[in-house]
Amino acid sequence: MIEVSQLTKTYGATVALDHVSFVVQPGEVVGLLGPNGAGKTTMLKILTGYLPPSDGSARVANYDVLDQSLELRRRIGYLPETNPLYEELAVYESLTWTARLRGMPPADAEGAIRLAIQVCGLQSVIGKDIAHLSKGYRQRVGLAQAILHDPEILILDEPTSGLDPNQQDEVHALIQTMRQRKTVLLSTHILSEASRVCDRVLIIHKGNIVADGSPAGFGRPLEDVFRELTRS
Amino acid sequence: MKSVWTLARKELTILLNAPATYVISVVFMLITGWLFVSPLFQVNQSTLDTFFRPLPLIFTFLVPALTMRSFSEEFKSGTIEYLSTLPLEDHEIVLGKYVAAMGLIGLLVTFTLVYPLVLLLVGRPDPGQLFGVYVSILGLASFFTAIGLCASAVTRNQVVAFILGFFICFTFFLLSRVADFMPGFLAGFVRGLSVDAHFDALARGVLDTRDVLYWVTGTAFFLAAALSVMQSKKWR
Repeated sequence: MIEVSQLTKTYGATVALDHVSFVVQPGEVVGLLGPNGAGKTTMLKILTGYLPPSDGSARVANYDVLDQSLELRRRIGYLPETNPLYEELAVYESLTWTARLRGMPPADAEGAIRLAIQVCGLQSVIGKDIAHLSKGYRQRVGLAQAILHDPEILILDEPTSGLDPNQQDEVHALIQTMRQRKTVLLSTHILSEASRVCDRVLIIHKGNIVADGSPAGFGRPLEDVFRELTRS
Repeated sequence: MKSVWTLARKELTILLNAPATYVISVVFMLITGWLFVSPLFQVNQSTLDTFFRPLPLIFTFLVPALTMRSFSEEFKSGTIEYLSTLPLEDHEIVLGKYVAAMGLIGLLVTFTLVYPLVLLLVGRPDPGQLFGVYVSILGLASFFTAIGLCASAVTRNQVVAFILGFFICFTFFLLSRVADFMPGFLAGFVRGLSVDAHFDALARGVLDTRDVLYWVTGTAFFLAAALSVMQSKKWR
């Protein structure tokens, strides 16, 4: 469960998030939509404990983002927007170090790595250096790192960015397989992706939530709703 | 503490995967080897002095070169975001990087043990002094590593991190020379801050707690500074 209450984030005079509140129930797949600079990534960075909010509060898996950040980080899987990876490491090495840094016992880590490799389709590149991977495979490595410890909450910042349509389908299928057991909050500006994958969408514009509902519940195409609410 | 070791091993793996590490290490071994061997063969003198006396100056280049990428590369590539959203405390990240850099420098220093071993074969070196020399080297390495990490946390550009780290280390190296031109009461204070005074005292085999305290507090100060800089950059 994710609970956000009156969350505000400012960078100097710029207000990135302005008293935003919402709740994501367990098992929900929620899409955070918005034009570039709307505050989506800032929101996700606060929810992962990476950035502190300027005001308001947020709880993820019942842990406060400021006061219980360490516990919170144990329970989330996060794919950042830029998908930063250690290019000097091979895929298997990268997953092994992620498992170790997450404190997974070696016996559990071995199985978890094997499962993540299989789920993310990384079998053919496990020995390759990340520096030599295509963008699609790099994205899969980022996803594998995010799901490795079987987190109860997945936070994905533009998970299909840079992927070809087939790869996008694979990521969507992956999210679908996880929806029974996990809460997923993903940001995207691909509206068809949101309609297809998400139970609910939050449209964010200039740091405010301007729409909250199921993609079908708006009564008209999501694209029209998005354009109307985020114009100007 | 387990997280610190795990992170240090990962950092060490990355350092050992980088070709620059080997270039820097080879250059270090060539220079120290030449410093040790030249008096041995040219003037038939078996001494470690020519090897360890220039070490503070050599370390002003070597240590920032080995630490320059530690934080700057994390900020540049964005991996600091990955690292910071793992269940690790910020101080564990700083300590992990410190332990990794010290591990690599410790490995290089271990290679130099061949010099006292050669001395044991051809002469009668003082074991107390040998011990003091290596405690000095580790103290100096620890202090400069903390400075290098702090410099690396300041910028996302590795070259700038190297120059800044070198500048701070070189300042501490120069202080004892500058002190000669200062009035008496100030000269003592400035000399006390310089690395030379503490390095030479320990290297003579005189184990003084003030020298050990200098390395420990200097290291702690710059590691704390690295932590503050990292947090302020991350949260900006």
